[in-house]
Order: sequence, then structure tokens, then C-alpha cells
Amino acid sequence: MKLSYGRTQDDFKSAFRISSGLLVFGFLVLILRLWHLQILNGEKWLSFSEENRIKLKVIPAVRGRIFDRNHKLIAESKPSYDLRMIQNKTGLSVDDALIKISSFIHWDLEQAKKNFAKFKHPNPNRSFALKKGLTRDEVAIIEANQPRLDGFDIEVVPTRTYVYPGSSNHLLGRLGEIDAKAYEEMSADDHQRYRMGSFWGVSGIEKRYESVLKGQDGVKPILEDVWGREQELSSTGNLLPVFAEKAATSGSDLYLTIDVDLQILASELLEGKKGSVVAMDPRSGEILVMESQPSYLSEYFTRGVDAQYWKKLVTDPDKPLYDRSVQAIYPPASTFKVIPAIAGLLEQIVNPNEVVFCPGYYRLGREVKKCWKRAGHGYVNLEQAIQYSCDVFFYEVSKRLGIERLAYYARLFGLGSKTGIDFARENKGLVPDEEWKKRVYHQPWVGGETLSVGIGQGALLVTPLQMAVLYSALVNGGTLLVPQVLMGVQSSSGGIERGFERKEKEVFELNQDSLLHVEEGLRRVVQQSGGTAHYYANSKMVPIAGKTGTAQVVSLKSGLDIKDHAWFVGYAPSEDPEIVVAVIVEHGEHGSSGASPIARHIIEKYFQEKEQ
Amino acid sequence: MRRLVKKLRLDKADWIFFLVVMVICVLGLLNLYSATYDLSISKYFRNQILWMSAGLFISFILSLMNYHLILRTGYFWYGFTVFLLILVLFAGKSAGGSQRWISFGFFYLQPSELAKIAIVIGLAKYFHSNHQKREMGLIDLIIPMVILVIPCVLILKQPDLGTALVVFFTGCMMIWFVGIQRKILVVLMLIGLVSIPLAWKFVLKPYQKDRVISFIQPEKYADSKGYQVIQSKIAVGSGRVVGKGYLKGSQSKLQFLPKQHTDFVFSNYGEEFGFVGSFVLLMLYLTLGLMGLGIAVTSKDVFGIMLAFGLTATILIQTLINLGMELGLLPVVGMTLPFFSYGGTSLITSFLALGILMNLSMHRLIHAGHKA
Repeated sequence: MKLSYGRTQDDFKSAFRISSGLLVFGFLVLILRLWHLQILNGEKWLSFSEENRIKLKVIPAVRGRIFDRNHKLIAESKPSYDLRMIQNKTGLSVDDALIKISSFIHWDLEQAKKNFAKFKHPNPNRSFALKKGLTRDEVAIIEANQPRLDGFDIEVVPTRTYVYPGSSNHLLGRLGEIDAKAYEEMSADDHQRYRMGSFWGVSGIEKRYESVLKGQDGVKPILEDVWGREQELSSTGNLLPVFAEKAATSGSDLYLTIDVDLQILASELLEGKKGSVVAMDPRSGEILVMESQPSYLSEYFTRGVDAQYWKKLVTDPDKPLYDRSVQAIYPPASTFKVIPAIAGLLEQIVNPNEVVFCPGYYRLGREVKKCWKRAGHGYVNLEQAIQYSCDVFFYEVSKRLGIERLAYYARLFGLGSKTGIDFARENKGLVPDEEWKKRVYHQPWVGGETLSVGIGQGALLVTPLQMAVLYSALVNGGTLLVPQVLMGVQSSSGGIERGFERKEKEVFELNQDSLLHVEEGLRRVVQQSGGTAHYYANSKMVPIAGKTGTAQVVSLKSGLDIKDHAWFVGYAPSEDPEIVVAVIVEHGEHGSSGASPIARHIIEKYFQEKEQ
Repeated sequence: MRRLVKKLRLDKADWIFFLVVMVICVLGLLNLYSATYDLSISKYFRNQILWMSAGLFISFILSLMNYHLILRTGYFWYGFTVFLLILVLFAGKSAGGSQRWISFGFFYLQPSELAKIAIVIGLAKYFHSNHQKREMGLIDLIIPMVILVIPCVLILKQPDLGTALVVFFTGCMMIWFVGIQRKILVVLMLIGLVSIPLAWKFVLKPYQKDRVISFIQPEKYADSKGYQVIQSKIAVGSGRVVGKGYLKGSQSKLQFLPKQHTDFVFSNYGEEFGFVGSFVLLMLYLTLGLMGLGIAVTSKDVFGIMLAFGLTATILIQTLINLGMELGLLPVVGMTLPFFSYGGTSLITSFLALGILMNLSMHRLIHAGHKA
């Protein structure tokens, strides 16, 4: 067939075939691509599309409770109320929204703006916590006005609360927010359990038993569009298993060996002072009291600590963050005299009946060392020397022992090394000897230094917990125990599992007679007139024994009148001890007046409770 | 009545071809309803129905008149479109960094869309009136190339790379379809290959280069330039075999898909109807293309052949580029899916093409019948 200008339709036949072929080829490529996307890799793209639309909201697990030895509640999780805001839903500008809410709940507008600024331009479609920890009144106002407060609502967050905020803070420890650094450093296992911004224990019991207390956070899938606006979840088919809702599992409850009533009493007795009280059962190593003052308030850390409060704690010269029970080291002063006493008896360099004359001073070569009593104690035997805390007697014993034997016995009773308590960062203190002096000062040991160590001064440094452990070993017949605070953990069935197990660090064979002489001295300190603690610590209720100590504080600025630290380490009943108490009060002046009454109160309360 | 039908040659029309287009339109409407479900549903859906009705009416009118009217006025339409393309550069309304629209108060006209039809008419008229040889030489190519290049350059100026490409490819296909010496074809293809780096350097705007780069490595640009493609792939891929179900595509419902009702309209369809639905739609387009080519080879004169071929080519080139882009096979260019995407000018243009093709289908058989 002829077309215009001499062309026929046949001229176009081959071009038609080629273009048809090209077309089919083009569609074939597209179909193969669809096959590749939808059939071969469909699952992958589906999971991507799920990730797009599903955000997993964390439902924090309820933290396990903490009880004391008598099952008294110390710490629990209570609902705390957060004010959350979605700016776009308020229908107002940020400023207007803040003005509105702050006038409703009578909140300082500047503070509201500050809180908002912290979020650095939050997505206007997403909800964020504008104000954490609302008061009951604020919650009531918001709930009553809910219809007029579009874009604001209240979220209930389980929050750690402490029943006795004034005490046990160092013991229980603090919670802290997981920051970027901590998140990066944590193990793969922890990555499963924690998210950046979650809270976990950063010190004390809260940290040590984090894994028990934590529980398992749950997740709830939230459907969001690309702008972050929350959508109804129901309309969208089945979820991939990874996005399924998971309920939170609460953490397990802890039972401590602590007696919270004694703990409170200790914090009250230490109020306004700087110091520590440690009490333990010398038979088992159970810690009954471990209180340090001044303190911070753990409850201020449960939702993220206020920067100003933190700064105040860090810069406070009284160091309230410091746990004086285990982290502070002091010269034990006369409380240490039990060591040269027992060492002298065991080494048989001093006879229990031997008397030493105390003229009020002691001469060693050209050096003159004074007794605390200038007039002197006259003739004293070992028991009397302990009773009156005669320095001269122990100068003599120490001289006979020499520093190596003295240091050996000090270490035998746990000084100079960590007690092994599991939750605290302990200071191990210091027991000096010749080798130590050479290493640190590159100088030979001087005889006078032995005498200083012998009365608990010099370079000797101990923690209050170490002293409690030392006296426990003394009164339990020679077993160095590991102090412990964990009584048990609540099991899934509700009972208590992982019960307390006594842990011995070391058992040494001691001549029980020698021990009795030392204990008799300690009994006289409190129970006989003339004993250094007789006036302050003798109790009508229960026979107490113990030893006072007055640690000289070395002042860097001479001439400044700094009071000595007051020590008392005691136990009761003196014949069959159930409780050992170590007390230090910084600048408490005398062990007798400054520290021993505190120990007496603790001991009396302990036996009072026991009677009830 | 029957006489009227005969007189209007409605009985000779290729109704199957028309039916295929109508099915695509209906699927497009259903899909648009779904893709714009969260937005103001009434506005987009109603507009689209309005434009489709107008388009149908126009193509009905077009199909009834003698297409030689177009032949006679061919250069006028071509010239008028070039005039509009120049006008838009000076008086156009800009949006998104390019100047593409002329406002007529109630209606925004996009002259570049009209250029897709105009270039076909212009070249078809030229080849009908001037061409005598079976295979063109180099000199024979000069005038057709000038006819082709003028609108292309004007469209690139706006800039509208996608449409310029469609117009250019359509013109090239037509020139090739008429017949070209093999050696010249080879030389031209080589020149084309060489000019790609030159075009990269001198013609493409930075944002267009970005699109190409982000096409090559979309994952690297997941948050910015590659975002559209990745979200589109997620949408289509997550549809798997049978799709997530009508109105249940989360990608577009939650607005992860950009331009889900215009350029990326197929992504929503692929997500909700899966491989099965996509296959059906692709087969419809393929059928449309093959039948369009069929109309071309059975037309009774060179003008008819070239017109049908050119119109089919312009629709199918758009279809292939748009789908290739949505499936991550081609770089992102502004390009709608004919009869499927939301948009007045695009739709009206497609219906203009449909009308002319229907017209050609109604007239070819009469000629053939005379002969037989």
C-alpha cells in the first residue's frame, strides 16, 4: 500500500517490530525489578517499613524494694507524675503554651522556659516531660482542667523513693542517668537491658545489686507518622515479632542485714557532726548499722540530680559524698591498743600480771614520749593499762614487740587491707613498717615511730569498718569475718532465697586466756570506775565493753586549734557479745565524751528491740 | 442512532484500547483515594475526577474530528506551544526553584506538558510533508533536529529535566522510526555517549547532579537526597506478593513517601497491591503501548503513522522512566505516571494523546477497507 511521498507501510514494519521489542524489554526489566524488590527481598523491605512506623516506647520496670533485717521497708518504687506536653496539640506557640500551663499550676514561667530549653527544640509532634515529679496539687489542677489543657497530660513513672530519706544514704547509694559515655562502655548484655537516659544504681547497694533490683523493662509499640505524630495502632495489621508489646518484669526485692531503726538512730546521733557509726554482729559478720554523716539525699538522685545540688555536694568542704564508714581513714588512736596487748600476750613478751610504772612519760634514747595523763598512772598491769588507756605501758610493749611484729598482728586482724564488704569502694588503710617507710620515704625506720604506732598514731590509718571487724575477731575468739549486708533476695515464688551465708576471711588459733585478759581490760574501760568510758558508756541495761580513742589531728596550719577525733569501739554484752559498734566523730575531742555515748545508745536500742 | 454511530465512525474505534486506558484511570483513582487518604481526601480526589471528565470530553471531541485538521494546523500548534514556552520563562509562576506554570486564574497551564504533544505534531507534519527518502542522511536531519531542539532547550531552561528528556527521546524515536542511515545512527549514538560527560559538566544544575549521585548511592543519602528513593523502595518492597491491602499501606498513610500522589504514586500502589497488582498494572501499560504501536502501523498515511507512534512513544517513555525511578532503577526526575498520577495538566495532556490515538484508530480501518 502506498502512502504519501512514495512510502509504504511496509517501510515501517521493521521499526515497528524493533520498537515493540524495546517496549517489551523495558517492561520485562521492570517486572524483574518488582520480583527482586517484592518477592526476593520483600521481608527486608517490610521490616524497614515497620521500623519506619513503629517506635518502641520503653515501659520502665518497677525497681525491686529494699527491706531491712526485720522486713521493714526502706526503699520502694512509687508513682511519680510527669507533666508531658505535645506542642502541636496545644494549638499554641511554645511561649503561649508555657505561659498557659505555668499560670494553671502556679509555676514560675522562667523555670518553665528553662525546662523547655533543656530539650533543644523538641519535635512539636512528640510528647516530652516538661516538668518531672509533679506535686499532688499540681496533678489535681491538671486533671480537673484536662479539657482546657489540650496538648498536656500526665504520665505516671515508677520512681525510687526512700522511706527514711535522712539516713542510710551512703549505704543505699544513688541512682544515676546513663549518659552517652556509660552507654558506650556497657556490655552487650546491658545494651539489651538499658537505654541511654535510663536510670541505674551508681553507688552503694543500688549499684551492687543493680542486676537483682532492675527487673526487665517492657516495650510498647507506638505507631508514628514521619512527623512523629502518634497514630492509632489498631488499623495496621499484624506486627513483626520484634515489635511486639512486651510487659515489664519488676525487679526482685532485697533483704538487708541492716536494722533500719538502729540506722535511723545512728543518723540522728550523728546529726550535725561528721563521722560514722558501724555496727555488726561479731558472730556472723552481718552489718547492722553503717551510717555516715554528713550525707547527701539519695532521693534527689532518683530522677536525675539537679546540677546546682550536685555542685553543692561536690564543693562542700565537709565532703558529704564521702562514705566515712569505709572510705575515710583515721588514726585508730587508743582503740588500737588491743593489738599490742594481744600481740604482747601471745608473743609472751608481757606477762598478764606484769606491772609497768607510768611516770607520765616514756624515755627512748634521747626521745621523750608523753602519756596522755601528765601525772602518770603509776604501776599498771595490762588490764589496767587498757582500762586507763595508759600510753606508757603500750610504749613499753611496743618497744618489746618491734614494728614488724606489731604490723604483723595489725594485719592479722584485718588492718591494711580491705574487709571485703561487697557493695562499697573501700579504702584499705595503712599499716606502716620498715619496708613501707623505705619504699615511700626512702628513710630508715626510727624506734620512736614504733611507739607511736603502738598507741594507734603515727602513720597507722584505718576505716571505722575495719575497726568493727577487728573487734569482732577479738570477741568471737579469733575469726576474721567478711562483713556483709545482704540477707537475701526475694525469689519468684515470693519467698526469700539466697539466704545469708557467713564468710570467714581467716581463722587464727589464739590463746583464749590471752584474749580473756584483753577482754577484761575492755570490760573495765566501761564497767569499772576509772575506766575511760565508765562515765559516758556504762549502761544499766546491758554490760558494755570497749575502748575509747582520741586521735590527734595533725594540723597543717600550726597554731590553728583543731579538735581531736573521738573514737569508741565497743561491744555488748561483754561476756557473750552480739553486737560490735565502731564510732568515730571527727573533731569530737575525746573518745569518752564524743563517741562512746553514741555507741551506748546504739547498743541499748539494739537490746531494747530484742526484748520487745 | 446506528447511522449516527456509523457516521461518527464510532463503530470503527479501537474500544479495547480505550478500555485499557479506562482501567488504568480507574485504578489510578482508587490509588489516589488511598494515597491522599490522610490529607484532605475530597480535594485531590474530586479534582482528579473533574480533570478526568474534562480529559474524556476533550478526547471525545478530538476523536470525532478529522485528524487532517491537525495536519493542516500542525505548525500552528507547534509554534503556539513554543510561544507559550518562551512566555513561561518571563511570565511564569515559579515553584520549587523552577518556572513551569502559566496562571489562567482558575487553571495553571504547564506548557512543557503541551510540548510533549506539540513536538509529535510538529515532527509528524514535517515528515508527512517533506520526507521522501527511506533513509535520511545527515543533511536531512538538520530541520527535524531544529524542530526538536528548540522546545527541548526552552524546557531545560525552566528547568524541567524530566519533561525535556521525554520530549527529546520522543523526537529521537520518531526520527529513528522514519528511517535513518545506519552509519549515521551509529555515529549519533556515539556522539550521544560522548556528550553525557559534557552534559554533566555544562548542562545539569547542581541539584540535578545531586539526584544522579544520590541515585547511584541512595543509602549514603538516606536522610536527604536518597530519601525519596529509599522510602519508595521500602513501600513497594514491603508490599511483597499480594500487598498490604487497600488503604493499609503504612508508608504513605504515615507520610513517609514524598510526592505520594504525584511522581511517586506507584509506590503506594505497589505497597498496597504487591507484586500481583503491580504486574497487572504493568501489563495494562504494556498493552496500551503495543496497541498504540499497532494503531501507528495501520494508519493510512505518514502523518497518521508518525502521530500515533509519537504519541504512544511519549506516553510509554514517561511510564518507563517514572516506574524505573520509583523502583530505584533510574535517577529521580520530575515525571508523572500517565493516567495515574494526580495533576491536571499531565492528565489533560494524556487525554489529548488518547483522543488523537482514538481518532487515528477510527480512521485507519476505513482506508484499509477501501483498499480491500
